[in-house]
Parts: sequence; structure tokens; C-alpha cells
Amino acid sequence: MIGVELRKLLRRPRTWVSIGLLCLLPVVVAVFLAVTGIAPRPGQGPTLLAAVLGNGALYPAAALGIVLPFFLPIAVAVQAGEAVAGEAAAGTLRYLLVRPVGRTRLLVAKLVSVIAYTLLAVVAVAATGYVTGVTLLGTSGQLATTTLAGTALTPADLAWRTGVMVLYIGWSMVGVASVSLFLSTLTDSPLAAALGGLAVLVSSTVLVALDAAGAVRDYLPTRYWLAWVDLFRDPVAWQDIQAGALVQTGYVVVLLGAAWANFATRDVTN
Amino acid sequence: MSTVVTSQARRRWLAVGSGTLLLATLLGVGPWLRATVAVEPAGTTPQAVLDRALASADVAFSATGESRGGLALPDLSGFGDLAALLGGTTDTRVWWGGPRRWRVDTVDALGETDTYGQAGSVTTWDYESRRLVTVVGDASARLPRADDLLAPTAARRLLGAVGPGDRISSLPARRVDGRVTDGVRVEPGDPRSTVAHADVWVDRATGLPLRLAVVGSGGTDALVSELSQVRLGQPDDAVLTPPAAPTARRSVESAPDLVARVAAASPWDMPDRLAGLGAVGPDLAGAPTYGDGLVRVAVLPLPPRTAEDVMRGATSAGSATEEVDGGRIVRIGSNLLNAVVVRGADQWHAYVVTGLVDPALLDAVAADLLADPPPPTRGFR
Repeated sequence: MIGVELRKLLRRPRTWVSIGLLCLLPVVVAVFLAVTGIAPRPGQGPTLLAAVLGNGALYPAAALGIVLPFFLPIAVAVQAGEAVAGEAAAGTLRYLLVRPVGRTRLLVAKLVSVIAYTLLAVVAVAATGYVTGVTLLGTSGQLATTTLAGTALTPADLAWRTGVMVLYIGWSMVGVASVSLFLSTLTDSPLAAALGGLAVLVSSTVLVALDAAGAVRDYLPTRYWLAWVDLFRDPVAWQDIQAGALVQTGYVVVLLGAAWANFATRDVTN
Repeated sequence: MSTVVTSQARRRWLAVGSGTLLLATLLGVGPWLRATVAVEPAGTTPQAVLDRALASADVAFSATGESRGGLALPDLSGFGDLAALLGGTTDTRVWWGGPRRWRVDTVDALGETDTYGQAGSVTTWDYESRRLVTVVGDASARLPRADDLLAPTAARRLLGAVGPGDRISSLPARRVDGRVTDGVRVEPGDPRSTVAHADVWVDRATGLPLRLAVVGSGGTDALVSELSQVRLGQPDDAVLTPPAAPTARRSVESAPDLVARVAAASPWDMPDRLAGLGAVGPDLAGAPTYGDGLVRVAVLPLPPRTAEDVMRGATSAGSATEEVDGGRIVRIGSNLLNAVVVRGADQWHAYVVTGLVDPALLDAVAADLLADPPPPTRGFR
């Protein structure tokens, strides 16, 4: 079942179109930076973008910083919202369950497919960022790649930090996916499931910025999204990264549990 | 009617609900229990706790810090990030090896600004502008930096200013960051102070102040600073060494900011008493401070052009200019820190008078300065 869902994911043109569009924006930004040589002024624009001119090896991180606030969550929410509700909307969910397939197995297969899409998207953006950065922005040697603390980053340092960043952002997006996947088991409309997931994220973003919500801030899903920046400090600040991974794990466990509890016994009419 | 399906659904939802409740309990109630679990009362006097806090500058530690300022100050040109520092939240990472060997990083999602304290100099690395600035020597006056608002540093400064007229009392012991702390409350004895009280929680094991809360006379928190993730012990030498940053723009300066530059160049021989307040210390050069205990007023002489810029900035931020005997003043107020920009009618004498005191006291200081303008020092005659 998992293999079937993964093959379906990889063969569907929509998967590659959405990932292609995700990768396109960082490429466009890199082209503008390379042609004009004008980076955002310090303190402005996405994280690390001000430091990438002549430092193309940092561009994977900057590329993920560009798509993280908006486009990546949208793509993941749409994919996860589609998982179950899409089958129901197309009228194929009932036929899927007529096969000797348990509902829990089907849900697990859908989950694995969504996680695969999420990691694929994050890795694709990072890889595109690297190729684009090195090609267009260069690693001239005039500018040493440094941490935010100004200390030098060796290629090995940069590689493991970027790798952990990809995993961290991927796991944060699995948190987004779990919201939409749960909603996808509640409704037959994939659009409603995706928009519901995005509504949760927008609400979380508003509350994170609100001092009055300080008591719950550390438990909100988007609270630690930007903690990956701490990987590029020296010494690495692990505290928020660990907290972010834990918070996402909490949401993933609770929401997938709820998705399972609902989907395993709901009436499937489509 | 209950069916097999509905009872299965109930069991599943019960399992998910129980798991969620357990998780929420662990995450929410756990820290609360940890913070409030019974702590043995302090066996010492508040004065002893205060003395231990003042003697804690050599306690080596690493931690993360957060300071939340509630002062609504206008953003004035030349005064750097003062308004943001005292009116917003500042997140820091701290490595403290001692008063002459420390590092404080101010971090946000876009970068960081790291300050390295070393014997005889302070070096600042700003990632966003890629500048590495070393300031040599100790300025007699300067703008506050993020490291000044760290709980231990700010608490020691505040407790060090407590005078015989101020009252200190004990607060119930509590846990801060999981560590047992003894609380001390300081209340100004002089009603002209805008501080209602300041509460300091001091680590019982080391004497390190871990939390400071300053409450203004309006009853609201004006500044709260706290350390978390505290680890005792000497930080690595590598962490305390400024970066080589080969591509950074480097400079070596003798004054860190506008206030330090202006204070160093002050041409006036300042009086030893203003509005009934005596000068703190014999040195009246630069930006002298007057008063005692928690009622202190700093007077910063300004060059005429700078004074005009500051007045223009303050009036465009909503403050009104008032004509008074001998010149003009502009009042800048917040719930804790007040300031008056003063410009003499001779167009040469100008000052910023500031302190955690009632505006009426600042007006009195301004009136004295305008009524009897200080003469130039010997070198400027």
C-alpha cells in the first residue's frame, strides 16, 4: 500500500509542478541578485539573504528562508489536505476501502506519502538553492563563509548544518501536514482541509507575535519555525531547535492520533 | 443504540484524548509544578542576600537571557537602539567568565550582534553590517547596551545604588529556571523616584541574580530581565574571543556612541550641586550624576547642533517645546525613565537631564542649570 501511494505521488505531474514552482522563486531571486549585485540591506529581507553575494554556499539556507513563511506551508497543506479528502471528492475512497486494505494501513500509507512529499520539497529547494547559489552567486573566495558570529565555516561545517536544517524544516512541515491530514479525514473537500491547515498557521503566527499570548506562545506550531537560523550561530544554539522539534512531535502525534480515531470508524459515503 | 463501531470509535477517541491530556499535563503542569514546588525559606537577612548579589560578579556561567522593557521612549536620532532596548524584548546568549572576560550575543531571526568584554576594551561584532568595532577604555558615560540589561548586571547596578534611605525586605524564596532563589525587594525611600519597587531573585547557591523585575510608580512592570538555561562554570576561551572575520569592516574607537563622544568633549565646569542634589563622586567632567540612593539624575552637556537635533526629534515624536526662564525645554517621558532636553537662551548651553525620577525634579535641575549656566573649564576658556 505504501509503495502504491509513493508511486502515485512520484508519477503525478502535480507533484513535480508544485515542487518546481517552489524552487522557481529562489532561482528568480538569485538571478536578480546576481544580475544587479544588490543584496537586501542588513536587517532586511529573508534570513541570510544579505550574506549570499559571493557566498553561494549559503544560498540553500537563504532559499529555504524565502519559501518557508508562505509557499512551502501552502504546498504541504494542499498535498496533505488532498490525501484523504481528495479521494473522497473524486469518489474513489469507497472503492479504495473495498479492497482488502485496513483503514489504518491506508492512513499510514497516505501519511508516508505526505511526509515523502514534504521532504522531497525541502530537499529540492535546498539542492536548487545550492546549485543556483554556487553557479550564479559564486564562491569567489573573497568572502569566507561565516557563521552569524563571524567565525569561519568549513565546507564540512556548512554541510552538516545545512543537512540538519533540511531535516528540521522538513519536520516542521510534517507538523503542518498533520493538521491538514486530520482535517482531510473530517471533510470531503480537499480545499477546506488545506485552507483549514493554513488558517491554523496564520492564527499561530498572529498569536506568536502577541505579547498577551505569552503564556501559550511556546506551544504554538509556528513558534520555533525560524529556529533553524540558530544552526548558523557559533556555538550552535540547540535549545530552540530541540524545543521546536518537540512541539512539532506533539502536534504530529496528537493530530495523527485524532486522524486515525476519526478515519478508522467514520462513515465513508463517497 | 450502541453498536460495535461506535464503541470502537469511543475507545479510539478515548485513547487519543487521554494521550493529549497526558501530553498537555506534562508540558503545562510540569513546569508550573517545578517552579512552585516548596522551597525552604531563606535563612539569611535581606541585607545578606543583597551583599551576596553584589559580590557575584566573578561567578562564571553561561545562560540565555531575556529582558522585556515597557518604556515608551521616542526613537531619537543618534541614540541608537535605546528605544527598542528599553521598550521591547531583547533575547540574549551569555557567556560570563568575569567582569573583564565575557560575551553577550543579542539574537534575532535576521542575525545577531555580539559584544565581547575584555580587559580594557569592548569589541562588538554586528553580523548584518559585518562590522567589528573595538572601543578602547571605559567611557565615563555611554548609552545602555543589551549586556547592561542582563539580570545579574542590571540587578548589581541597582542594588549597588541602594542608599541608607531606601528600604529592603525579603520576598518568599522561589525557583527561577529550576534553581532555588532568595528574593529581595527594594523600595526607594524618596517619593521623587519613579520606581515603586524592584524585586531581585538571587541564586541561593552562588549569589547570582537570576531575575529582576522593576515596577514603575504606575504599578506596571517597567523592566523584567531573567536568565534561563544557566550552566555554572568557566566558558571556553574560544567562545570569549572576538571573531577573526577577515572580510569585516574593522575600526578601533575611543567612544562607543554619541553620548560617550559628547561627554568626552563637554566644555563645561559642572556645579557640584543641582536642585539640592549633590554630585556623585568628585569627578564633574563629562556627564556627572547627582543624587543618592535610588534617586539619581544624570546631566549630559550637549553641543548646540546636537541639542537642536535632539529637540527636533523629540518634538516630531510628540513632545512639546516649552519656553522657560533662561531658555527652552522639551520633556520626554515614560512610565519609569524621564528626561528633559534643555537649551539655554545663549544658544551655547544645552543638556539632557535624565533619571528614574519625577519630572518635577528634572525641571528643578533644568531651572538651576539655566539660572546659573556653568562656566567653561580651564582648557576651553
